[in-house]
Amino acid sequence: MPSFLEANTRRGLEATAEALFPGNDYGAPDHRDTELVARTLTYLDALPGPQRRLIQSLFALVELGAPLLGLGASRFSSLSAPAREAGIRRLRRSRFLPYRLVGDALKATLTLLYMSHPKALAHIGAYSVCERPADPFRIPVRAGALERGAP
Amino acid sequence: MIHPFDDVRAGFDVDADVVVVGSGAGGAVAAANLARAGLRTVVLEAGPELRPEDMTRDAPLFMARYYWEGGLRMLSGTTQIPTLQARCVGGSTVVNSAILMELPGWVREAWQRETGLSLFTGPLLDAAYRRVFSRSRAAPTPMTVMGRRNLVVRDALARAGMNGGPLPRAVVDCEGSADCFTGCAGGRKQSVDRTFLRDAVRDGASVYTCAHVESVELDGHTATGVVGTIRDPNGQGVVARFRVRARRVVLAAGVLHTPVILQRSGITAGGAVGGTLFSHIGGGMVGILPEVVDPWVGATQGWGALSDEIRGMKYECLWAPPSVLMVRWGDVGHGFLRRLGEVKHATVIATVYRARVHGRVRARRNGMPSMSLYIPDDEARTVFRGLKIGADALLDVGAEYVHTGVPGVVDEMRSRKDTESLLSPNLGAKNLQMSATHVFGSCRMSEREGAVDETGRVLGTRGVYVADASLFPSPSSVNPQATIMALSDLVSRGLGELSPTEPPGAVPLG
Repeated sequence: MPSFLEANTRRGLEATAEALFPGNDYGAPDHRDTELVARTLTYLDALPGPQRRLIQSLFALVELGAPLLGLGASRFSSLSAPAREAGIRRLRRSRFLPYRLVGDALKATLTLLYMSHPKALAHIGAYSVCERPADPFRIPVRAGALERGAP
Repeated sequence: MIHPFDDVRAGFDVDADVVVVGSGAGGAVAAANLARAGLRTVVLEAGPELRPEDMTRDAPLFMARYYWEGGLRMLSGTTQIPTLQARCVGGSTVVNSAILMELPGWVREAWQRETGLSLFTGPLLDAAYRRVFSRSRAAPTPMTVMGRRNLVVRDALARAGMNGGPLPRAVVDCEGSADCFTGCAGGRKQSVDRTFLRDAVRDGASVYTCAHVESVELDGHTATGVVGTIRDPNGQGVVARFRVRARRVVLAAGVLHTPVILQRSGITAGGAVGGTLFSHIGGGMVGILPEVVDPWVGATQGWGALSDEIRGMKYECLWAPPSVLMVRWGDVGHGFLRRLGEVKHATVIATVYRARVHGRVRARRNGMPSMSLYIPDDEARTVFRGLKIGADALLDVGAEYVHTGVPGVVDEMRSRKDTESLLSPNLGAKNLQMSATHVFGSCRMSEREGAVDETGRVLGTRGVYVADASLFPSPSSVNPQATIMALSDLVSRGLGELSPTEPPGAVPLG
C-alpha cells in the first residue's frame, strides 16, 4: 500500500511525464516509449534520501498544489494534457522566482531521464566514437567519425 | 593500497603520521608528497573507487551514485544554482574536462594585494605549477580530436576578435568521445587517481574509501586525528565508525566540506572558516548551425579563449551528455519534441566570469554543507553582455539561431536585434541560468581576515592544514584544478620538508 506521499508523487509524475513528453507526429519517442515513469522511480531509488524526498515532494506538490501554483482549480492529474503542458510552460516563464524554480525543476528532472533513454538518443542521432564494452548502457558507435570534423 | 568498501565496512582505528581528508586534486597531490617524504600517510575518501564498468554513459544513474547529493546539490542565496562535485576516489578530477591552466598574472597580483602574501606572485608557485603540469602530462588539446563542434567555436571566437587556442588538458591520447562528465572509461584522462594518488600508494600511503570524516579531534588546539563514519556507497547509510590517530591533519575535502569539518570540530578562526564563499558565474548558449555538427564527437572542452573585452571572462566550447545539457534547453512538451532533430546541428559555448560575489558555508545538522551565494545584479549583467558577444559570434559564423535559456530574453535569437535583449536593464542575477562548478574561498589563505596562514595551517590550531580550493582568496578566472594542485603541492612540501624548488621530472612516476 503506497503512502500518501508516494501515491501523489506517482500521480504527479505520470501527469507531468505525459504533459512534457506527449505522443506526437515528429517521430520523437514519448513518455511511454522511454518508460519515463518507471525509470524516474528507479532513479529516485538511486538518489540519497534527502534528494529522493525532495523530488518526490516536487511531484506531490504539483499534483496537490495545482491551485496554489495557478495551474487549475483541481488536481494536476485531472487537467487535460495540453492544459498541463501550458501550465508548466507558464511556470517556467513566470516572473515569480519560486514558480519558475518549480517549472524548471519539473522540466529538468524529466528531461534528464527522457534524454538518457536509448530511443531518445537514437532519435537525435547521437552516437559515440568509441566502444565502452564494460558499460551495459549501449549507444551506437561510429569509429572514425572524428575524421569528418578534422581541420 | 586502496581499501574498498568491503575492507572498511566494519570500521577501523589506525595510527598514522598524517591523515589527508579527500583524494581529489588537493588531497592526492598532498598524499603523494607526504608519502614520498617518508611519513605514514592515510587518505580518507568519502566515495568509492570507480572502475571502468562503473563509468556508465547513463548520466542520471552515474550522477545519483557518484556525485555529492546525487548531483542535485544547490547553492541558495540570490537564486538556486546547481553545483556539481564528484564523490569518488580522485574527486572531481574524474569527471571534469581536465583543463589545467595557470592563474593569469593579473589574478596573481590581485591575490597578493588582497592577502598581503607574496607567495601568489613568487617563483615557488611557478615551480609548483611546473611539477603539476609535468606529472599530469598536460598538453594543448590536439587538433585531431577537436571535432566539428570545437572548430565552430574556434571560428566564432576568432570572429569576435578573441585569441583563443586549444585548451591545455591532462589527457593522453584523447579519444574525443566527450565522455568526461561520466568518467573516462578509456583511461585517457590523467585524473589524480591515475597520477598523484598512484604515486602516494606506491610510496606506502593507505587510501580508505567510503569514509566520511565528521570532525578533527583536538587536544586543546593540537590535532590528534579525525573521526567519522563508514557509509554504504549505494544507500549511503552509516554502517560503522572509524578513527585515524595522527598529529597532522590535511583537509582537502573540497570547498564545501572542508569548512564543515572544521566547524563541526569547533574550529572557526574567528568566523573566517566558511565565512566566505566565491564562485565563477556565467551561462551557456547553444547555436544551431545549418550543417550537421554531431556535437557528441570531439574533446569535451577542446577550444577556449580569455576575453580581452571583459576581463575575467572565459569562453569555452562544451559538451556533456544530452540528458544533462538539455535540462534547460528550449521549450516544454510539443515545443521541445518538435525541435529535437536540431540537436545534431548544435554547438555550445559556455562562459565563466570572475565576478564580485560573496557567500558562506555552514554545517547542516546531518553533516552536509549549506551554502549561499549572493550575486550583484550588475555582475550578472556583465555575464549577459558576455553572452551577447558569444551569441553574435555564433550568428556571424552562420548559426540559424542561438538559445541561452535566460528567462526574459528572446528565446531563439536570429539577429543582433534579438541578441540586444540580453542587454535589457530588467535582467538581473535572478535571470542567470548557470551551474556552479568552480567554487572557492571558504577558508581563505591570507594575512588579513583569512582562515589559513601562508603555510596552509588553520589559524588558532597546531597540526591542522587545508590543501584545496578553500584556500583561494577570490575567484581564479580560469579553471581552478592546476592552482588547487599547485597550492596543495606547496602546503604538503612544507609539511613533509621537501624542497619547494624541486624541478619537475625529479619525481619517479607511480
